[in-house]
Amino acid sequence: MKIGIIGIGLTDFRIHKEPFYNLAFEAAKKAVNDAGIDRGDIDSFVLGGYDNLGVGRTIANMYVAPAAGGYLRHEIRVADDAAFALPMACMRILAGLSDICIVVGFGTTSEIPLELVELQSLDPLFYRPTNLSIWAYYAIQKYAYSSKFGVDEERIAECVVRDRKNAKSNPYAFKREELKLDDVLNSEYSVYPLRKLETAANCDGAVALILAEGTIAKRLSDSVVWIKGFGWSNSNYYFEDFERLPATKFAAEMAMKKAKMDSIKAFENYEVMDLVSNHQLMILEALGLADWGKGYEIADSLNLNSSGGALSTNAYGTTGLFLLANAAIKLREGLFDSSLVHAMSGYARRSCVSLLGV
Amino acid sequence: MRRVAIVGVGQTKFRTRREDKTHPELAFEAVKKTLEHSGLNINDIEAVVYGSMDPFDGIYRPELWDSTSSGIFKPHMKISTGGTTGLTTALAAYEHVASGLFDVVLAIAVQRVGECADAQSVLNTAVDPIYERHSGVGAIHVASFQATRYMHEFKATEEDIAWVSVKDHKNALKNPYAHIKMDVTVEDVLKSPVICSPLKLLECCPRSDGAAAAIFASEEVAKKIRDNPAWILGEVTISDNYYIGDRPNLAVWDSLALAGRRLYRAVGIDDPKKDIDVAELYSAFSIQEILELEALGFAKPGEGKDYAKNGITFPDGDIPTNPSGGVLCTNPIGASGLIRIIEASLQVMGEASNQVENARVALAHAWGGTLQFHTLFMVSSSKKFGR
Repeated sequence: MKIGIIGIGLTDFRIHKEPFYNLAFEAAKKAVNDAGIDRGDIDSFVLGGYDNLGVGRTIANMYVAPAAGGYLRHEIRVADDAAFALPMACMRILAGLSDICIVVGFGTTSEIPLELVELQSLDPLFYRPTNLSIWAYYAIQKYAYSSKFGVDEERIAECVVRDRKNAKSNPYAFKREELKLDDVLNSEYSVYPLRKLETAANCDGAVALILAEGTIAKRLSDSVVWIKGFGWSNSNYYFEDFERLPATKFAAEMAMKKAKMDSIKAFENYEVMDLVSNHQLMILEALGLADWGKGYEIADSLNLNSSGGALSTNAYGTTGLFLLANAAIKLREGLFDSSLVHAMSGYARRSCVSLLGV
Repeated sequence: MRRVAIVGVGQTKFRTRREDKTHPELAFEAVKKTLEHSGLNINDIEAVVYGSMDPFDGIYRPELWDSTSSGIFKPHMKISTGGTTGLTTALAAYEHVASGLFDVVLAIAVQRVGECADAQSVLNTAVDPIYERHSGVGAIHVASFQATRYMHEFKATEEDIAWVSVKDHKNALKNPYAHIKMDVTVEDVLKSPVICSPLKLLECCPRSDGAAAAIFASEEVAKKIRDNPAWILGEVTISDNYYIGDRPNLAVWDSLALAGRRLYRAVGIDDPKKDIDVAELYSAFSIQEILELEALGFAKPGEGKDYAKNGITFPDGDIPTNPSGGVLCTNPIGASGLIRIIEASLQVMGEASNQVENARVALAHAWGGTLQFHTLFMVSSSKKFGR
C-alpha cells in the first residue's frame, strides 16, 4: 500500500504571541485548504509534540485536537518530536484503519526554559544532579567528535554557514541572515567548545500534513509526495558513543530496509536535524553517507538542509516535522525527486528517519 | 485486516508510593512478568510503545530512563493522551502489528502518581488558564458535576451510586495487584468523608504507583505463543471539544455513546448486553460507571443507577463490570487504561483472578482530559465475533 502527502500547512516560525493551539489551528487549516478537502474528510488525527514541561500545559492534545479539527474523531498524540508521529499515522493507514489522516506538530520553545525542561528528563539519581544541560551534552559530543576524528573547528563551523545560506531563501525559516565563517568562529561560547551561533535557533511554530492512502491520494492530488519508508529507534539511555549517533544509524537502517532500498546515497536531498553544528556531520556519518569523521568531505556535494536545518529553525516539538514539510514542498515544486529527512530528540538518543519521493 | 492478539500481560503491585523501586525498576517488574507470561524474551520484542503522563512523576520524558528496562536499540514510541494514555498506548501497539510492519510489540505504561503532592492540582494545569483554571477544576470536580446532574435528571440517590463502590471494592479483594483492598458496605461509603459533593472518599479513586505491560502479536506468531490469546476485535478512540462547559449534558456521556456505537458496528455487536460478557470500564469515580453503562448500551438512560444495587454488575450478574476492582481501587493514571485491557484479556484467556464464568468477549474502556477523550477495545477468545 502506498501513502501520500496531499496537503501541507506551516505557520511562520518565529517567536509567537499566539498560544500553541492557535498555531496548530492555522497550520491545520492551511493543510486542509492545500489538500482541497474539508476537515470532515479527515478520519484520524495524529498529533506530535510535547506537553507538560515541554509546552507549558498538561495533556497538550486537549488543546490541539479540537484546534486541528479533531472533533468527535479518532485522535492520538505521539509525545516526541512530531516527526515521530508520521510513522504512527502511516501505520494506521497501513492497517486499513484510516483513509485520510492529518499529522499535526506544535512547538513553542519561547514559553519554556528549554535547558531546564530537558534536564528534567535525566534520572534524578545519577545524571540530573550533574546539571548536564542539552547544550553541555552537545558540547561534550563536539569535543569528543573533533578530538576523536581530528575534525577542525572550521569544518564544524561551516555547517552553520551552510544552513544559514539555505535558510535565506526559505520563507518559513526563523533565522535567515547569512553568516560568514568568521561570524561563527568569533561568536561567544555557549558551552565550550560550542559557540552560540552553533546552537539551534529556538522559536515557535506548527506544521500539519494531510496523508492519504494511495488510491485516494491520486484521486485528490496531482502532486502527491509519496512516503517511501520510515524508521525510528532509541539508543542506550546511559551516555556512550559521544562521537556517534547510534539511534540515527538504527533508524536509517530500519527505514531503508522497510522501503527495500539499498543505497542511502541515492537521495537527491537530505534534511537533517542538526541541533548543534557538529550534529550535521555526525548525522551524515551515522546515516552511512560518509566514513566516521569524514562528513565534512561530502557535505558540500549534497543538497543538504535546503530548509536551513534546525540550526536556523528549532520549534521544540515539531522541528523534525518542519524539516519534513520543507522537503515535501521542494519535492512538490520539482526541485528534487527524493528526500531523506532525519529527526532526533532526547539528548540525541532517539531518532526518526523518513524517506520521501515523487 | 491483519489479525492481532494479546499474548502476554503483566502488572506490578500498586501502592500509594512504591518507594522500593525506581522508575525503570517498576517498568522492569512489569516487563519481566509480561515476558514470563508470554514465554518470550526481550530479544523477541521488535518494537516498544511506552505510555505515561509525565507531570505526576517528577521526571520529564521517563521513557528515556525506562528504556533501560523496556528495550534499547529498538523502535520506541511514546504516547501520552491524559487518562486514556494506557489504552491509547495499547492502541498504538495494536496498530504497529496490524500495519504489517511488526509481529511482536510490547506496550508498557508506567506511572508514579505518589511523586506529586496533589494529582488534582496537576490536572488543574490541563484546563484553560484564563477561563477555567481559577475554579480549581480537576478530574474529581468534573465527576461531581456528572453526579449532581445525573442525580437531578434521573432521581438517583447517593445510595444508588454508593453501590458501585461496594461492588468494585469487593472485586478488588480478589485481585492480587489491586491498591485498595477493603470490604465496604453501603453505609461505609455513605459515611466516608465528602471529597467533592456528592462524591465521598470511598467513591473516589486512589493515586497509585505502578506499571503494566502487554505484548501484541500477529496471528501467525500468536498461535505459536499460546493456545488462549486474547484476540483484538476492534478499537476506537474519540476526542470531544475542549471546554467542560461545552458538554451538552453532563448526565449523558454522548461522546462515549458515539464511540461505542462505532466499535459495535465495526465488530458486529447488535446487543451489548447479550454480546459482551464482561466490561472493564474506566470508572475513576463511582458515578462514572453508571454513565458508562448507559452510554455503552448496557442500560437505558436512568437505569444504570440500579445495576450495582441489584447485583447486575457483580461477577455473577448479567453484566459484570470491573471484576479487577477497577480504577476506583487502583489508579496509576497513565497506566490505568492499559490495566483495563490487560484485565479484559485475562478474562477471555480464562486466567483472571476474579474470573467471570464463560467470559468470551470483553470490553475495555478509558476516558481522559476533562471528560474529553475515550478509547475502547474489544477482545475475545475467538478470532471473530459470533455467537
